[in-house]
Amino acid sequence: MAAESASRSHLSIRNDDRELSRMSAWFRAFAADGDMSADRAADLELCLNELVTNIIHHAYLDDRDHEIRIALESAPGEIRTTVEDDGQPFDPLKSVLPEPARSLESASIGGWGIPIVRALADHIVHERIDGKNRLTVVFRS
Amino acid sequence: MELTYEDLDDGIRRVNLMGRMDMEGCQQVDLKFTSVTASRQAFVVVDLSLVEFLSSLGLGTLVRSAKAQMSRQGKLVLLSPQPQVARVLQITQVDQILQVFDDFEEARRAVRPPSSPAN
Repeated sequence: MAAESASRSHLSIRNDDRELSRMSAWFRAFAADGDMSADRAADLELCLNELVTNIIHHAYLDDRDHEIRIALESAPGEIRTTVEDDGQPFDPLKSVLPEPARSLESASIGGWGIPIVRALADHIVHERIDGKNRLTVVFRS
Repeated sequence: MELTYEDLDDGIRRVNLMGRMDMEGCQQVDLKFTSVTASRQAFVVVDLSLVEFLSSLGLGTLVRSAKAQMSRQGKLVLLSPQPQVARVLQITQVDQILQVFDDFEEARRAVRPPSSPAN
């Protein structure tokens, strides 16, 4: 379910890979209405994909449906997104980043999502509130 | 997401990817991509010029096949990523372990099999 206004929108999705396409379509519609550059919009879309994919695949210890709430808010010169989930506590700022592979032979597959987010976002804040992770990520134009 | 490929005279396979390499896109092409690029020794140029979005899942698709080719004494290189895609390759430093070219002839020379008559 999505709610829209001129500068703020939110979306609620389930912890299901099939929801990612809906999330991307929602994000692109929001970005098209704003003044964010195409490059920064693409950065934000990528980070949202990485964060929510990470939540769907790693946050939950059971097989039940869970709600992931995502908000977008635009202000002059920046967009901020907030992602909330009721999975295990996870602060991407505290996760140990994998060492970049020195060779193709030694490279492992995966582990790139959080490094991408940390490289592209201007500001990241993690809070644990009422049993939920709330991650706020700011992108400046 | 779409995938086409052609086998060139000098033994090189050119694979053209089109669309978004996100979760949905990877699910659409993963099996075919693996079959075309990793199931046996090959010398592969993957053209990314029409890929507009590359997530970490898409990176996994590319690196997995490149590793498979290395173990088969084949080779896989990337061609003409769009700026946003090139940025992802650079941030993750995948561009340090997988060769990336902007010119097809350069990519072709880099990946050409040792027995190719053009060598």
